Amino acid sequence: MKKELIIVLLIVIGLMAVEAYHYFTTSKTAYVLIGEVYNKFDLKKELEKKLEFTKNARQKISDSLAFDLKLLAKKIDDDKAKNEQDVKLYNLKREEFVEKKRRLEEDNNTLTKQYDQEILTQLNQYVKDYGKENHYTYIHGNDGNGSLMYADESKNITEKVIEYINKKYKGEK
Amino acid sequence: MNLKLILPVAAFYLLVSCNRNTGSHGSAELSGEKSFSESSQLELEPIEYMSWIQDTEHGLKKEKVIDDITFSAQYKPLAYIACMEERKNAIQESVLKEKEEELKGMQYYDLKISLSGEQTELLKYKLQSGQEYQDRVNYFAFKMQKDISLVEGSDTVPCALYHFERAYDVAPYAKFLLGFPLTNKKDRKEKTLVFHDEIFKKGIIKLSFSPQQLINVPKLKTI
Repeated sequence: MKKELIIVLLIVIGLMAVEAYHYFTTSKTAYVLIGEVYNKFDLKKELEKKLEFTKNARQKISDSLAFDLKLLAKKIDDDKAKNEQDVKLYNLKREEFVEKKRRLEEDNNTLTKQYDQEILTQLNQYVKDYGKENHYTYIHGNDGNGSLMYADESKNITEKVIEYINKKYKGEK
Repeated sequence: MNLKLILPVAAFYLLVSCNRNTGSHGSAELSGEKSFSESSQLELEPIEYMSWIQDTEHGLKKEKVIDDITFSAQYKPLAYIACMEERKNAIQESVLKEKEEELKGMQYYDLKISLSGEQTELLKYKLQSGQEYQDRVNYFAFKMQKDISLVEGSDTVPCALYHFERAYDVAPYAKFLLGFPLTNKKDRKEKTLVFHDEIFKKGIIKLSFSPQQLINVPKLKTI
């Protein structure tokens, strides 16, 4: 009976050793569809709304200046004598409008880039965390540019990663 | 006969082993936070009480690492604030009552932003110019309050008390003392501290506290 027990123990230890060897030597890989992960990331959705709100507020400023300019242009058109002061004011306001519009567009572009960067920074961090927690050696990103030509569908962890990164973002993990 | 015994044991081991592996492949595993069912029964001395509150495993301190920056939020029960202010091994019941009376009506948190592995002053981290340093000081001291809120269910509570505790060159972190008015709702909901990082451009940072974690806080032992 004792001998049998020793044999069983040896087999179990042997199996554990095989499994440990397999665990430490086999690299675990998977891939995600980057576009899908990016679009379904809650931070992206929230910053998109915030950006839209800011852009709309800036557009209102720009529209208001354009409206003032149109009013002045109409006044000059209606005035057959073409008041010189009005024409000067119009030119001044037009320059101001062009400059303001340029700056607002620049600010919009800067903010868009900043938010994109913020989204990518958090996204990369959370995917890294997911990889570490789940012992992945590689998580590839498939964005259709040819860097990943083929992968078995069973290696697609997009949905799991989306769920994880959104929980992580919400501070639930 | 030996084989009859060995094979089922080996098969059982393999089955258990496979199931365990499948589990780890699955969704990101449940968090290992402790059960709090017994903590509300606890009564702790000030020092033990403070370390219990500060222990991340008890869920009143939350951390999030993004790149090289760590954001952490500490929920501060009133008794904890009393302990921090008194700094004594024993606190009188009357002193605690007085403090609680003074602080009631608000909920308090600390927000800490620190550098991972860096020893430079946080405000000087990846600094482009002297002017940027001044802008950061100005933002932390006066403007950051508008970028902080507390979300409770569907309510967003603005930050009502705000104080930037400047570390100068002493420590690689910045600490902010925050206070939010208590909502009058009886049903306890998850509280999420939300902060949009405008300085280090790490995006919106959210740190959540579950109702269970906030309820099951031990009692402070008084004299």
